[in-house]
Amino acid sequence: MNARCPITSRLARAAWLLGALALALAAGPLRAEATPRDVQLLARALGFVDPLPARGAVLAIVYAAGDPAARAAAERLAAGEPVRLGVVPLRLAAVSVGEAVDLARSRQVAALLLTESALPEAERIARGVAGTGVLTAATEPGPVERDRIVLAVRAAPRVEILASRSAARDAGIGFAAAFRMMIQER
Amino acid sequence: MRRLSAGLAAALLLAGAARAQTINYGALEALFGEPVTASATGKPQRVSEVPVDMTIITAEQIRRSGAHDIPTVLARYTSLDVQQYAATSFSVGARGLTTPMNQRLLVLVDGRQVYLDDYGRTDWYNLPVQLAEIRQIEVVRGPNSALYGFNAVAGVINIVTYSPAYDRVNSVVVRGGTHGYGEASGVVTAPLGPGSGIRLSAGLRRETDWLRGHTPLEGFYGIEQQPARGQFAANALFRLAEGVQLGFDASYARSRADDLTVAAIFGTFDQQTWSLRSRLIADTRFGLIEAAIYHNALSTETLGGVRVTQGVTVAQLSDTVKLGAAHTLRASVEFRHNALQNEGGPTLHYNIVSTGLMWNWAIARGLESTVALRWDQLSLHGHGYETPPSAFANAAYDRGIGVLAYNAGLVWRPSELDSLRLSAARGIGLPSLTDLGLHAVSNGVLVSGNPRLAPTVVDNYELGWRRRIPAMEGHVGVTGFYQVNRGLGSSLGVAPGLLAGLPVPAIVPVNLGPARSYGVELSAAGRLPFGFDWGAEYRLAVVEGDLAPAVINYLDASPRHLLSARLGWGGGPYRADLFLRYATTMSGYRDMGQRYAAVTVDDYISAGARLAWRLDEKLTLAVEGSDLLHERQRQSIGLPARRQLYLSLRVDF
Repeated sequence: MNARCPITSRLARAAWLLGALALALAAGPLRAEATPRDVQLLARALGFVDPLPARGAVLAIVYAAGDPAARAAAERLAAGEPVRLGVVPLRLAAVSVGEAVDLARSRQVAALLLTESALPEAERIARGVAGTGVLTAATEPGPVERDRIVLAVRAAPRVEILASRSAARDAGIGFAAAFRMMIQER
Repeated sequence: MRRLSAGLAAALLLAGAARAQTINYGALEALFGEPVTASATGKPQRVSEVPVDMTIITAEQIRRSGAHDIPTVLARYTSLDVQQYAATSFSVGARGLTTPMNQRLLVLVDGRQVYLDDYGRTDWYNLPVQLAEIRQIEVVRGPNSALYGFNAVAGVINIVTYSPAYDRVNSVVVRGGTHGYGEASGVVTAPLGPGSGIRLSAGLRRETDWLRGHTPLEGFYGIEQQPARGQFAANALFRLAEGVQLGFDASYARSRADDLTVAAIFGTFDQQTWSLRSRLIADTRFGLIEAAIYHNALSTETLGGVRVTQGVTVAQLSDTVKLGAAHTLRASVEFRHNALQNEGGPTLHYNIVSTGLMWNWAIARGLESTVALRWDQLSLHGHGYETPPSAFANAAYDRGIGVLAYNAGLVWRPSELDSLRLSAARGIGLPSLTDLGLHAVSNGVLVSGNPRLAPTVVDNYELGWRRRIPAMEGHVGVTGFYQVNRGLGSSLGVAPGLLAGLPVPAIVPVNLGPARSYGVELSAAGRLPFGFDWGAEYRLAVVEGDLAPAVINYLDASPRHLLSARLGWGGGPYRADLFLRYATTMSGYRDMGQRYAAVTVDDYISAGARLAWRLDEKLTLAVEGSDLLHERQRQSIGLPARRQLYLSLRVDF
């Protein structure tokens, strides 16, 4: 299905450029740091992931070890408003990159939300979650476009979700059909 | 970390029974922060991304409307043509041309047609659904035959109820009002395990009709002064396996009420409808597969004791699949068998085989195209038409019709706030079963269908823009449309005439010719300080045409200008909502026996309101009113509308 005829390919490229230009003009600078609303959004998105997180599963906010400011920001997020998957509560925790990889390998976490400080370690985390069914997410689309992270989520000003099919495959993640039809994929 | 790990291990032992779901609209709406619909293309979409002109009325808006029927909800939140001819008699359409018993708007409940194929109408009073069980009302303006087939020409209204598997809705509403109004309804939901549940609903209503304004001829046939109805519906969904659900629903409704017919005369319809449906929905690696089979049955007795029975059986199969990152395809097939039995007379039936394909392409971020095509092949058969007086022989009823419908749309979101939509569509309106094959002699006049009628073809082009305005937590929108209708049918809205070879005068439907409709729709809504919110919908529809003279008066049937405006306030346990509607002049005819009298409706403003007091978590008491500005006011070619006040108590449990 990925093979395209030259005309549609050119049309698509032109449209991409047009769309990117318009978005660049209209959206202003991209924001990378996660907010409590982004965390809520990610928790809700977990309801459309296969495998579905178990009751009481952990949504970990990942920060770079050795960065006290990043750690404090992650802990603030983790201490924020409780998140739920439908009626099932999820647990929030702030973890370092190393802890995140360990948790993923032992399958004790449902999702890892990488804060800005952890993004340089995205490749290491991607290797760590391979085949585990653990979802990785960030709030900026770059790592998703490079297939390092499964989901980019952004709650404001408009809910946007971008998924990497390649990263999802590597992580052992699937999505509900309806969800796939409503998000952007690459 | 150690403590976290121990907690995790314990939590994971409680591995949830829930698994990947089929479409859960409530969860998707919570995720995306806006209503979600599959009524535009068959693919689940955010309402801000659909390639059609769509309004979604939410459950909260329905509750705040203070309305106790769906047409009134539509009148208070949209600029649809909502004509109310009597207390329980409505016709609803879009973009003009809305005559009594409007055939041009397809209405569904959870995707099941409730549009009645006998006259090609919707009996809003008979709909087997309670307002409290509705999640949202999806209103599509413009043709959508490429998804729904015949009769989705002026628009589509899909009434979506809560899911018995995911939503727990339990409530009782008791309402009393002036002029003998009494109503009781209830909805109860019972979970049957993860992904499974059942919902039951029922309602009873009676009142005294508006009464004043009937013609002597209507008095001759008899007027129902105390319309009444009873309804029951059951809806169940069972999770068979991961991502697979089986659904059943059933409904029954009985109503006895007056309705203004297309023949320009009120008739009392004593009507029973029932339905049975089974659905299978599976989220598979081959996409979202949906199969459904249902039967709708109708038995109705009207003017002069004419009784007809009609039944339609529909089998549908569709697969909606996302291929790669950017393409979603929906392939569908449908079979439809429809039959009309004139009591003690001839029978007419047709089969329709349909196939459709929808292709949605996410060309780039913020840019999507959708193209949908559908072919419907109809084969019509009739027998028993030899008995004189008969306008057509049996052979005339053996006929085939094949038509192609399409919808094409381009949606571009140039910014986070703006959405531009360009679309073109062709919809096909099929003559109703009555128009094709009624056979009755009433008061010395033969009322006969015409099997040679051509379908109405509607081409619609539109351009829309919508902008979210975060500062006022609202939006503004504008849509321009141009629509060409070819072969508009008269239905039974023609005067009796003499046909060659017939000993009696006959009413026989004909195709009247073409008509154009063009105009603009404006929409705005937002919030204000101190708990206020507001909304306004305006529609200009200019209708022109070259139609043969007929009793059905398409060109002047709808007001050129329509404005619906609302203002709401909420504070603590109190809630107040005010609704205003302004419409310019329109006209039509009423049958006086020896002649047809023209009825002109002047410009008018009407008002409705609701004042509610939430007594506690479960109890809400409300005073509601409609047509508040005048004791009686002409708002349609039917009976003058009457001021009405209600007191309602709602219990949620």
